[in-house]
Amino acid sequence: MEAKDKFIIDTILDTYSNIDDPQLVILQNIQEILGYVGEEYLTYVSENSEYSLTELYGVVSFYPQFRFDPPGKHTIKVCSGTACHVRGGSGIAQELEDILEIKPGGTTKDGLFSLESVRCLGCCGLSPVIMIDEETYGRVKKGGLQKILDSYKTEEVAE
Amino acid sequence: MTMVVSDVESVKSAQTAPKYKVGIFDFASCEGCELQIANLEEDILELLDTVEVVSFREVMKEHSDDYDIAFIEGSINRPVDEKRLKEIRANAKILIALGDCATTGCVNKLRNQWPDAENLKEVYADADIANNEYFDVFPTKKLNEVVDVDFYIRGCPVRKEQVLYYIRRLTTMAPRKNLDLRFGVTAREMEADTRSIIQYDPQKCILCRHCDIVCNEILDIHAIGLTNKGNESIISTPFNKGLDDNKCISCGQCLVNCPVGAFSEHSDVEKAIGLLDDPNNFVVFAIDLTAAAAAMEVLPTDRDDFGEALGSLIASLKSLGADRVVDFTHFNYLSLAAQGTYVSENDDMVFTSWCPSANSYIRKFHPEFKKNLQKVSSPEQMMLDVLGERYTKGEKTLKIILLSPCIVHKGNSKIDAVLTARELPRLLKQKGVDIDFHDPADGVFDCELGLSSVFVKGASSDYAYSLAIIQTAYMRKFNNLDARLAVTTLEDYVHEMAFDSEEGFFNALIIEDLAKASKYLTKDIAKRYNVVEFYPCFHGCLTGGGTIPTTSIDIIDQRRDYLRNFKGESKGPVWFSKQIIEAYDKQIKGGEF
Repeated sequence: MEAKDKFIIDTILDTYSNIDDPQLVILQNIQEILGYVGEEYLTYVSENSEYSLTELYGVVSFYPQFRFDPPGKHTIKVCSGTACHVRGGSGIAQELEDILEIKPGGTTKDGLFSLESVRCLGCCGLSPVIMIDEETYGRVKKGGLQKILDSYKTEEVAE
Repeated sequence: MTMVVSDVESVKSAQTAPKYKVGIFDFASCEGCELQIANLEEDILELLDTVEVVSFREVMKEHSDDYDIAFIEGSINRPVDEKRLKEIRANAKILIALGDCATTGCVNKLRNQWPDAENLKEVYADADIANNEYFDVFPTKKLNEVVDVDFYIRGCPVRKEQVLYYIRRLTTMAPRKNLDLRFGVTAREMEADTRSIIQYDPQKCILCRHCDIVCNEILDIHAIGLTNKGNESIISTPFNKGLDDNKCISCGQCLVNCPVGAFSEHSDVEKAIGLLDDPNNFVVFAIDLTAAAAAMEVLPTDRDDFGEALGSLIASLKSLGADRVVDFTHFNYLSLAAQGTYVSENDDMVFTSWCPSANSYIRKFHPEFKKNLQKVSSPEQMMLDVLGERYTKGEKTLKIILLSPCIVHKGNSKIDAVLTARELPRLLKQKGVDIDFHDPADGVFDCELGLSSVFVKGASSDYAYSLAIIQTAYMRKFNNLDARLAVTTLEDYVHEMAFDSEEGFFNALIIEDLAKASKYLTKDIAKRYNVVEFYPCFHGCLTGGGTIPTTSIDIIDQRRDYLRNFKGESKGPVWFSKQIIEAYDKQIKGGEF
C-alpha cells in the first residue's frame, strides 16, 4: 500500500476519532476519496482502529454502495427497480454479467467497465434502463447490449 | 402483470376441480416479500393449477373476500390496520405471516423505542395530520400480537421458492398449526467451503450467528463473520480467503456451537476404515478419554457405566482390526513430566498449553512470544515417539488413529487419522459394529508404560494440569512439595498460582478466557511467571471442538465424573508427581516399557 493511501486513511481515522461508532463514515470516506474499499485498505483500517477485519468486511459486503475493486473507466448502472424488473431488467443484468464476465460491483480485466446494480433511475417509462456514465439507454434489448458496449471500446481505440 | 390475471381466468375455465383461494395482503412493509411472489415467473403457472389468487393488490385490480389462505406481509401500526387484519382472519381458514415484518415486526418495530408523538413530529414536522386516520398510529405490532397466526415464513425478503413450497404443501397435505416454516427447502444453491479441516455448508446454515458471536465477541479471534445480505447472507472469512489463510486458530468452537451442523469437521472416518482394513498395517488406536467421555452421549450402547462402555469399545475396535488400543492420558502425563523438568531447569517463561490452537494463537496474535512456546514434547509428539519406538520393529507399517476431543489435530500430518467424538459412532455404524455385543472384560488398554492411571482432580480444565506442571517442576528440583501454594484470582477466569518456600519459587498464570489473554500478554509477563497457560475452549478439552455440542454445565460435569469414577483420583500431588517423573525418566533413558 502506498504511503499516500496510508496518509489518507490515517487522516480519515483521525478526523472521525471523536464521534461515536464512526465505522460507516470511515468506509464511505475511503470509497469517496480512494474510489473503492479494497482488501489492503480494510486490513489497514482493522490494524489501526477498534474494528476487526471480519466486522468491516461484513459491513462492506452488506451495502451495495461499496466496491471492493477499483472502478473501471466507464460505470454501467443496471436498474433493478420494480418497473425495469417487470420488463426484463434481470435478463439485461445477466446478459451484461455474461458479456463482461463480472458480477455487479466488479470491474472488467481491461479496466474499461465496472458494473453496478442500482435501484430506480427515475425514468420507468423507458424501462428496462441502463446508464453508462452519464448517458441513459432506455428500452434496451439483450441483443443490443454488445453494440452499445462496442461503441465505448471503439471510442477507446480512437483515443 | 395483467398476464397473471388472464392466466388465472384461463386456468379457471379449463379446470373444474375446486381450487384453494389465496389472498395476498400487505400492511406496513416495503412489499418486497410480495414482489418475491410476483417474481415466481413461470412457476406461477404451475401454482395456478392448484390455487386461485383472488386478491393481490401489488399485481392485480380484482379483489374478493372469499379466500381460504391469506398471506400477510407487513406489521400493524394503526387501528384501521388492526380492524382490517381481524376481518382477514375471520375470512381466512389459514393465515400465514409472510416475511420478517409480519413475523417479528422487524425494522418497523425500531420506532417503538420513541414515543409515537415524537416520531410523527420528526417525520411530518408541522404538517396538518390531526384527525387523519392514516396518521393515527400506535406502537408497531407483529401479526400475532393482534390475531392468531397459523404459519410463519421468515426472511427479509422471504425466499420465493419457500413460498412456492409451502403453498404446495398446504394444498396437498393437512397443515399442522403454529409450525415455523423456515426449514425444508434448499433454495440457496451455494457451494460448501471444504478448503480446510473446518468446513461450512451454507445450505444448512440458518444464520443464527452463534459461530460469529463465539469467534468475534467471546474468543476475540475474528476469523469469521456474517457477510452479504438477504438471501446471499453467509458466514464467511474476509474476502472469502478460507480459514487456513486467516486468523483462525482451528479451535472448533464455531463447530460445537452450530445447532444445525452447517459447520462440520473434515471427516477421517473413511480413511480410518481404510487403515483398519489393510492387513499390512499395524494399527494403534489411541483414545483420549475426554473425547470418549463426550462420546458417551452418542455411542450406540445401553451401558451406563463409562468403564464398561469403554471396555466394550476397546474390544470392538480390536475386532475391527486395531492391533493395539492405548490410553492417550499416558502421553499427557509424560508431557507433564517433560514440561515440569523444563521449567525446573530453565528460567524462561514457557507457554505450557498443549493445545495446538493456543499455540497457533500465540503465533498469529502475539508473535513476539514465539520463543516462549513450549519446546519440550507435546502429548502428540510423546505418543508418536513412544509408539514409534515400540511398534515399528515388525514387518507391518505402523498407523496411528487418534480419538481426540479436538479437531485441530486433524491438521497434524504425522497422525494418520484423527477422529472426533462425533465421528466415532459413524465409524462403528459404517462397519456395522454393535459395541454392546462385546464383553467389557475383553477390552483393556495396551501400552501401560508403568504409569499411574489416575485422574488429576478437575483435569482437562480448571488449571489442574498447570498445577501439576509446577508441582512436578518443584518436585524435580527440590524433591519435596513443602511449599506454600497460593492461588489468587486476579479477575474472573484469570488466576495466579505460586509455590513459594525458602528453597525456591515457581509460579503460573492461568487464563481461562481467551479474550482476556491479550491484556496479560505484555512485555513483563516473561519476567513474572514460569508458566503461562490458556486455552480457547470454555471448560478446557471437555468442550473441545471435537466433542458433542453442549452448553449444559450438568453435561460437562457428567463428563468429568465419568473420568473421575473410571480412573480414581490421584492420592496426592507428591505421589502423583513422583509417579510421572519416574515414568518419564524411564522413557527418556529408553528403558523397557
